[in-house]
Amino acid sequence: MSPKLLLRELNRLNPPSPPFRKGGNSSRPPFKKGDTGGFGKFIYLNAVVIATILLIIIALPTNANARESTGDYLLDIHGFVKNETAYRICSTHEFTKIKNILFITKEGKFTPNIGYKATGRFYYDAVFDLINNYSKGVEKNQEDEAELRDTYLDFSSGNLDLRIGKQQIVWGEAVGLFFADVVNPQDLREFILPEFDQMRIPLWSADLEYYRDGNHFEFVWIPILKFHRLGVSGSEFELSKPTVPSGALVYYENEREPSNDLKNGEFGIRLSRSIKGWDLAAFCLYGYDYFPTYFRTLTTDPSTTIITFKPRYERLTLFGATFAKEVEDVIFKGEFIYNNNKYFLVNDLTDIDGVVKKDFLDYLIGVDYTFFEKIDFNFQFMQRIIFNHDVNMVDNKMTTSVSVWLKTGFFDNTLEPELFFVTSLRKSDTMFRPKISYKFKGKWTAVLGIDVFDGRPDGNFGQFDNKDRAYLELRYDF
Amino acid sequence: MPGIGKMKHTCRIATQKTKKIIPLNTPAPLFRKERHIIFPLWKRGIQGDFQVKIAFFMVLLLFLPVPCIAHPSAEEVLEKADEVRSPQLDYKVFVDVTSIRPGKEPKKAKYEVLIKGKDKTIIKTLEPSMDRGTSLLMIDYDLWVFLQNISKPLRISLQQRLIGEVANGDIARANFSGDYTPKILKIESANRKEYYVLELLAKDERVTYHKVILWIQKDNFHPFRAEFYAVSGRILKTCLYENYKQVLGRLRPTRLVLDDPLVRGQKSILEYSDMALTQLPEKYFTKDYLKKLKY
Repeated sequence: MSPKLLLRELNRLNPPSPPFRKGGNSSRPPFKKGDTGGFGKFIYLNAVVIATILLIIIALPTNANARESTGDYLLDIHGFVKNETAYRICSTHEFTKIKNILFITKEGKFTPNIGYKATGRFYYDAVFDLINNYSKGVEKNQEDEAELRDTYLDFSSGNLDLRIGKQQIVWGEAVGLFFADVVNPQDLREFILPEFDQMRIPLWSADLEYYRDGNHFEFVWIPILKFHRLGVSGSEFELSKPTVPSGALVYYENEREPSNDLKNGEFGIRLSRSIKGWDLAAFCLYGYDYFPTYFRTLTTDPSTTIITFKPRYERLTLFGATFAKEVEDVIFKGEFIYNNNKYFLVNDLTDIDGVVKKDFLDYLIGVDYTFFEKIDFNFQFMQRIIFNHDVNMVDNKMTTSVSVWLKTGFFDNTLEPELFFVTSLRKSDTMFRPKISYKFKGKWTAVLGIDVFDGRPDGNFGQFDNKDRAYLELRYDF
Repeated sequence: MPGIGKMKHTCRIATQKTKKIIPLNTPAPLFRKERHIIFPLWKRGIQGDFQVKIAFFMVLLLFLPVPCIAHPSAEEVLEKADEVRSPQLDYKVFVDVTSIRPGKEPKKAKYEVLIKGKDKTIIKTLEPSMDRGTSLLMIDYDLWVFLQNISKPLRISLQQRLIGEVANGDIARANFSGDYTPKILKIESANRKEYYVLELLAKDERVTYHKVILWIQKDNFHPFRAEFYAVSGRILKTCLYENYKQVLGRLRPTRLVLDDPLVRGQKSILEYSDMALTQLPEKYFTKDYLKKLKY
């Protein structure tokens, strides 16, 4: 649920360019009974997932015994198996996801001062084999994946800690938002709808931390670069691309990423402290804009205008500060991020490269409160202000939005209705996410919900106005 | 060791308080019996220097030996009871919580609790599996939670229930003396044992319970029973301290039974095990360290 993501970048991406919208244009034949190719693969992959789960379950008692004999230094394997099924409930009604996920993690300590964590995630989305909705490109991009997730070593010496490996480095105070959560790029192939820890892309990096007298100092070095993963053309949540004049021929070159040289690495520092109940932090990240910047070139001949976009990842320096404070059971939170030298799109066709560098400020003020000791409530006010704004810029000088989150529980909190709502204050642009979770037997969670988008096609959420969906999730934790 | 002057002062206060509040049906404290012995001697009418010496000696007696057998103050009683509940050093302990609801299957949860001093606690959720990895940090009355699906520490209020039906404070706090101002209400006898009955009033509004009535066994300071009240005066729950076992050099309660007096049969049982003294560095008790806790 990140308006920030959208405020940060999507605002500059205008309505979808028709040539790149391919939803439903698959060249694959529809799945039929007897099509043993797709169905066979489906059965095979599911069998692999189930067999893996069984192996882990069988292995668990062995690990438990091992722990008994070796103290705290060998712990069990844990994780979850999950099915996520989504069904589009507007325009063309059809399944958009039948995703089966296996997530396993193991952590522990080799010695009192050296710890480790290893995590893997595997998924297979049966929707591409069972239903003919998407193109080959989307299928290739989203059908299945085996990924090493958070996997690192922890070294500790007195007040000094070092974590080296693939990791998520999470800053900020806000709930359900990526405002100050700027270090890791995100997998946006399903927009901002998945759980945040599953959306973040772990980075190979080193995180050095020092604790002293209530102060916490952190230095981050990211030598291997990763950027946001965006849905490919024709995918369900493909983000809109820059608009072009009608009649023009448009070409998109491949995205150009910086090489993983030492000089191209990202660096960050953060200092935090709690003073009289105030959680205060300040940080600086010398990194990258994780969205590509679409540099434009224009070629005209007497009959045609040719527009070529050359997406590149550009440097971005962020300065931020966050706070949180409890006053009379009300939690006040704030995040402020000043972005230095970010490229924004301009509408002016005479501009040489179609982009302009500006500084901007993103900030959020939020409150949390629990009503009647039963209903958890969060309200957040968010704003982006672009400094030295140019009238030709695609983005507005100021963008304002608010969000509300509510959650309560019944029957010993086994049944939990939840609602998240975010809307722009200047134009019709809204996302509405009610859901209800049911927890049972200590290991199972079932979730039923809908994701509704509304607004203009150029809006952050409005671009998915015809992608409303209902979904069902079933998860088993072990 | 307190000096004589301080001991005398303590004795005087205890005497005054006891005269005021001990009901007639409660057993007479030892120092009243002593005065009873002295009084007949005074009445015998012994004359001369010897009488003066005796009188002087008796006056001295009033001040000197009495403190040794007087009641400790309410604060001392509470601190001694806290020492029974938990070692006043860094330690860790596992807590199994069974929540029982009439007509329903009992719910079980397991936590590892790390405690440093009286006001710093970390609660690691080990079970149920779906909540595994959730950590709670409590410093004074400030609270943070680390949720696996968010991967960052979030500031929360004490009102938010994060560890099932048991209040955060029930697990996070093993010391009353830091959070409450005690007063001895009376001394009560039951089952041939005597108990201090303490009224504890919250020092801060953010404490889990506004008022606690606590029964502490007089001879060994073992907590026996507690009643927890809301600001409105409504009783919220009762607690029995049971199953005393030899742990870390002394008898300590290893089972707490929290009963909801408003719903018959509804209760939570907290069972403590594997309590161990351990060095807990200061850095553990910072919100930035929550992500590093191993499960």
